[in-house]
Amino acid sequence: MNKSKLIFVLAVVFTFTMISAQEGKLYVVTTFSDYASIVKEIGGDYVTVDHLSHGDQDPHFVPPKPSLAIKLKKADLFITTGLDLELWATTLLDKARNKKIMDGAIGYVTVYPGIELLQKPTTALSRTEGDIHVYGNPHIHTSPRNWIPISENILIGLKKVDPDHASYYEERQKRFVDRVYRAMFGDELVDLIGGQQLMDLVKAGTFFDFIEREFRGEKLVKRLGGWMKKAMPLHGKEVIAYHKNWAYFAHDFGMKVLGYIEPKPGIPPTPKHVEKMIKLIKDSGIDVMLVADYFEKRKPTTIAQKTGIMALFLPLSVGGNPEVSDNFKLMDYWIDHIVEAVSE
Amino acid sequence: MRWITLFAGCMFMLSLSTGVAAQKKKDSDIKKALSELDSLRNCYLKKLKDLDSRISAIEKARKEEKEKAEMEALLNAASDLSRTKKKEEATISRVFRGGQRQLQALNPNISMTGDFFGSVSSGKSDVIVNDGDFTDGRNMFYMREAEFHIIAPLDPFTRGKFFLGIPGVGEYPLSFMIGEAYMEWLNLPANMNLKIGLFNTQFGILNRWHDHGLPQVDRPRVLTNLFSKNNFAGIGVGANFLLPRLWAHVNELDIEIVTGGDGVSFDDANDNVIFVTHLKNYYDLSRDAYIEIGFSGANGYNDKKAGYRTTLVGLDITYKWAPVDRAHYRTVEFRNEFFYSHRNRKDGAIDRFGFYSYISNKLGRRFWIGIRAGYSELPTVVNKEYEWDITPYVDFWQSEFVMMRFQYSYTYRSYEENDHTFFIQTVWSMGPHKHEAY
Repeated sequence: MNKSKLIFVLAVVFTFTMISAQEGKLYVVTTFSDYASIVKEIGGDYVTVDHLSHGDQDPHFVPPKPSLAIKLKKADLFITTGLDLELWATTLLDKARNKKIMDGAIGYVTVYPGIELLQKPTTALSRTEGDIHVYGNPHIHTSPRNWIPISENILIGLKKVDPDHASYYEERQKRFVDRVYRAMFGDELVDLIGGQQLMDLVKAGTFFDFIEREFRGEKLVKRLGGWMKKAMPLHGKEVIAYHKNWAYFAHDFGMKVLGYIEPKPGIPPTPKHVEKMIKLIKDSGIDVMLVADYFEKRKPTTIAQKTGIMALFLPLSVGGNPEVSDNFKLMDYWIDHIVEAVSE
Repeated sequence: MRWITLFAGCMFMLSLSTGVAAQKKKDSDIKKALSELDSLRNCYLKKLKDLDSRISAIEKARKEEKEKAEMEALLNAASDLSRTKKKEEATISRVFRGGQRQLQALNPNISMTGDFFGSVSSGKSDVIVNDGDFTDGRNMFYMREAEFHIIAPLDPFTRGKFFLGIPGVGEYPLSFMIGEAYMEWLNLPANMNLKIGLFNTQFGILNRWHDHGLPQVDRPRVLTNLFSKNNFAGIGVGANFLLPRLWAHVNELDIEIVTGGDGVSFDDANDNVIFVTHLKNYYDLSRDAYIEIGFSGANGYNDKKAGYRTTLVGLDITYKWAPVDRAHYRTVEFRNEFFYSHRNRKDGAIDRFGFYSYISNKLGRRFWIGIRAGYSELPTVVNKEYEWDITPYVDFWQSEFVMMRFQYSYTYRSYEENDHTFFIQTVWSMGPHKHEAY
């Protein structure tokens, strides 16, 4: 057998080996590592998961490199937010040559359905508002409450492309949801009231009022655990943020974002605006600034030096630093660091 | 007797006193009993009264609780009802309106780009007026382009794109010009996307880019000398194949057949069939950097009637470093394209060479600086005339949608006088836009 034939045969054998290695496992590609983390929870042994954007990367601007299109080419399932955050994803889908994962196809999943979007633009829908998101704030993964509908949508996608393992995925999704409830509120309150009811209260903004009620001689707040308990010092706290990344997190934990370092989304801070923010911080006595760590450090550090505010540079997504290997660790990281900053 | 009488008297007195005492005791007992009875009666009356009042209190509390529960139920019902919309009754007051005339939601994504610049040049207008000259030396403002981009899915299988330009002052004053107009099938067999229509060919890299998207104000001299100041475009068919992984991380092949050339390298006759091909080889060097190497080829008539053909060959090499976590603030892009032209003619072929190379460095969220060098031998001229340029520039990005550029070009020409040109350019975009550049 001559050399070129031998190489050809080896290439064919290698290709089939690779195919066999993946046989039986769905290949799921998500835009963000946060969604990938949830897919792993639900998909378990039957999925291999990859994501297009890095955890320390600005999710708005992921260059649609050919190597990312190759990942999508092989995907059985593609998971994206579905709003106007990942504008770069459509370029990749068009390049990927994978009919199964095009918009509306069986392998295409958007995770926003079932989520009540915040900061929906009403009358001012133009670029005078900067790089505006026309459907509302798309940074939905920053709320544990939103992980529930996100997981439901992912479950639907998995069941569609792999109906044979539907009950396996359903069971794991239920366990994931229960884990989220308990991580959020603690076991005692979840067992007493029910996780979904508690989440509904958080959604309505009445959770903190509710837990002030007495039940059997003591206030419900005494039964609170989980992130909600850890994050109690954040309730009512006023903060500054660099960009509108934190809307859902702030809503859930009762924080108020009083202003942004960017004058408008996507518009770099001007010296005049920075001065305005310094004044706001001093007048309002704000002591914490939240900055996704892919933004610059210079201006937040300058503001911190002039006002005494603590600038917290936080990874926005799973994998943003080695400590945050899944969504639960990400939430622990945020709450621990923000509470510590607030306490100082 | 006396003793008996006395005894009897004593006995009588004794019995009398005993009787009286007994009576007194009896009376006392009765009184006591009566008193105790009274006391008991009072006690029980008091208890009864207490019980009565407790029962009243309980009944009252129950009543209040019931009323409160009823109130709560009422308020809950009110709350539920306030979220429920009452079904509208159909009456003759209903006015009917059809939706057939109001389907704006199906309009395509429409965006518009303006490309304006001013230039000051040392060249003289009667000296530098050649095909391919970007500026003829006049010092003035140009509205180079006002371009509509109209993009939409046509159906689940195809996309349509129109790029309609209104070029500014020049030989086509304020006329409407179709830059590109094509539709594209996606996900065809053999990993192919297929487009038909009028499009800029994938010869090299920059040839596909529209003027407002160029990394400098002007196209490199080698491109304008090969294809005039416009892109090398044609009407035809273009297939893009995503190849199996060969020697690169991604291999992509374009094969295009178009008619009608640029009028310089290729005859612009409508029946001049030109073949164009490009092979892209993309390598991820790390998560922050990539290198891309491409090979291009094109062949068509430069003189259809006489039957003479031109063959163009190109090599493009691009290196880009954009650290993933700092991409807003740091990027280095180093791009090079090399071209070789073999032009057949009556008295022998003309072989010419040219290239450009630029490096752009992002210094912060808003600023880029860069420099371009280029060399181009004139491809249609028998004498080996050439020119080279050195072009530094600074870009200021006010936002993602408004950019200003300051550029200086020194162009040396072997066939004409050299010139110094200063440009100030502004490009602005309105409307939705797709992220395609990487």
